[in-house]
Amino acid sequence: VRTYTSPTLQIRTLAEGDRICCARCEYALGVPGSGWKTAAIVREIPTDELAGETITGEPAETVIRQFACRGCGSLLDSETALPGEPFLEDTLTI
Amino acid sequence: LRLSWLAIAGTLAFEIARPHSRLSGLVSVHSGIAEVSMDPVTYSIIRHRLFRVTDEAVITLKHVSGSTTTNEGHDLMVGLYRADGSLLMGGLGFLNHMVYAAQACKVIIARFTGDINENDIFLLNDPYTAAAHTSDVYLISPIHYNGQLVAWSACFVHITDVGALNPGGFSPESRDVYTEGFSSPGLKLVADGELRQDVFDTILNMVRSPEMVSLDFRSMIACNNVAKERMLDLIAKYGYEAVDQAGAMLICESEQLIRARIVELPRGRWQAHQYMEVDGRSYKVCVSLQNDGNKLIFDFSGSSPQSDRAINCTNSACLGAVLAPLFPLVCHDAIWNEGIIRAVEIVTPGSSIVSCTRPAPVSVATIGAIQSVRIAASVTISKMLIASEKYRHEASAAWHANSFAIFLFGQNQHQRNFIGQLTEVFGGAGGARTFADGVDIGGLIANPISRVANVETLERNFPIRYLFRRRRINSGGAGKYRGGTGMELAIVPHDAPDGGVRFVISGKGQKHPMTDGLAGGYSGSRNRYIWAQGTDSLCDAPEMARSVEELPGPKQDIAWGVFPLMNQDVLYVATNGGGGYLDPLERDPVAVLEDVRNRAVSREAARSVYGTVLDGDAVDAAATAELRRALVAKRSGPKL
Repeated sequence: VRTYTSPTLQIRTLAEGDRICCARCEYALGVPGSGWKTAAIVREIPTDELAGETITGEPAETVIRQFACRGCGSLLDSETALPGEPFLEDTLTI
Repeated sequence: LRLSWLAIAGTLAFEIARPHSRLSGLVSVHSGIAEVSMDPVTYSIIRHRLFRVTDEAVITLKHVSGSTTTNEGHDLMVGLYRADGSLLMGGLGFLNHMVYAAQACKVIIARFTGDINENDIFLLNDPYTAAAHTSDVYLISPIHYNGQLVAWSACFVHITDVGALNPGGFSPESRDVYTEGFSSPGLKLVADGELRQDVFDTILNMVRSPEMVSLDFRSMIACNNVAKERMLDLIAKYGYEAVDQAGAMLICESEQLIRARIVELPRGRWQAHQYMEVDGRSYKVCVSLQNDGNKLIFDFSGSSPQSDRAINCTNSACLGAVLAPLFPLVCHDAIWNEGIIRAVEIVTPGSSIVSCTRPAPVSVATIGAIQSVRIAASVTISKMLIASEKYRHEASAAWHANSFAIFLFGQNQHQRNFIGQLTEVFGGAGGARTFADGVDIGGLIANPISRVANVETLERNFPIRYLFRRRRINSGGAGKYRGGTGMELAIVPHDAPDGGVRFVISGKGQKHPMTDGLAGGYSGSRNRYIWAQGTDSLCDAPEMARSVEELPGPKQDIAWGVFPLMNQDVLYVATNGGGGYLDPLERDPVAVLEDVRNRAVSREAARSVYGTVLDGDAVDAAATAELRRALVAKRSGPKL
């Protein structure tokens, strides 16, 4: 492990070079500095279905995006977004 | 207690040990310009006395004020400033105002050069000069010693009314700053210790509830007087040179601390955004935090253009809003002063929601774009912190992000006209931490002392009754560590001579969740504002309603404007909880059980979100493990 980027992601030095990996199963998601989220399983949940929505109201336009590891299914990150908006990008300078 | 201070290569280091005492050397701080030194005991005493000066000034402000917003909600701030207006020591209260008041001091210095005299007090509330919005009025007192200007004391409160289009100062019907009440870029309210009655009367002539506004002003005058007297006592005891030198060192020390921390923290770029729906339209605050190893740069490019609704934030307000979460998250162990500000830069697009141009309306800014800037900035800061093994424990998912303002007005049970705020806006909710849940109704990240008035206090002051007020189930963002819950409440008019009251509501967060989770944690819930219009039928009396579902009459979602609360009408408000941290399927099932027992989480959510199977009042461990495996597999899909 070279660098921890978050509790769920880390940068590891593999034979093919540095890779962003799932912290749990070490599944490689991408090259540091590039967007890793496209390599994850992306699931969009309407915010109406969040646990807190015990009463109905105005329909939400936003979704909760969940990014899960293709290797082990661990939840790696989440963000609120309008459908079709680009992913938030968080990058470490190594 | 032993204090050993070592000045090494321009950095300040200290160690604390027990039980023997040994003092050595001088405290030295290299400011980048000159090295200043003083003996450590005097330095420490002055530093702590400055804390106490601001504490006592805050207490004075609260005790003299008659406003529940001030003395119950703690919508206030007191700070001490150096002779040049730079922030020396921020007191408690809304942290962004420490920065705004520094700007206000500098503006007063520039505007009144040659006319700043002993025992003067200046007023400033123009948002395009330094203030957040017109309702937050600064009173600024120069502090002279032997005829020389040596420091400033500044404070603010949200005054009861500012003469805006709508009562209470938050003015959702305003479409420009000209309809948001009186606005001064700086005037002298007290000259040589004498209140300028002509100026004061002019101000009171422009506001509703002038007797309460008068008391607001007098509380700030008392506050500044106490701060000034205590500062002069301090200077008299230790000498101006020592106090001034300690002030310079405190600022340098804070700057050195944050610069060193920036070096320690990972370099990179972190993004966040906040969606805000107001009066039928959605807006976005975008931020990208860059740590370049020397400073922290917050770039708001991509944020929405400014609005004709009063949610806009000025450029100077944006800087303070960035610093508000930075102080507690990154600099909790530093004195919050000018030294911290020097290490931060902001980039804002012109005429945008985060850097509006006059005459865009801003009266709802503090719960509008200013709060969204604070929350978006806090999310990027926490993303940076969790990338550091050393500082990960300081990170936090988003705190309460969907503030609202509800001001009641009319005639109260004492046959007097009144304007009063529901202080539940300050109840907030803590974001989940990296080692524990967020605090239920845990306040605001930008105000360490925010709180909610007792129901009894509000019912005494305003002609209303609470049907209920409690934690809101399922409102905290799910996660291994759960976001703190928000609250829900319902009020009805009671004993009102006119049969009820009216209320101004400036709400957001009803459409988009805004309390972002962290590292896979879920967002907290959205807000709800429901106006249940009662009938005259006694059969439909709402007094026995124990939930929103039981409220009689047609229900309407509202969030923006002025509405009546008459006869058997009910106003229901549900607030968001904090964001969660990490995957909720990692949450200890026993903790989920406790949440269900405490009505923080429903049984349904325990199963569907947390993958926890309860058998009566116990966890079914085997079924829980099986359910969690199934939920992970469902999440992963067939490629797993």
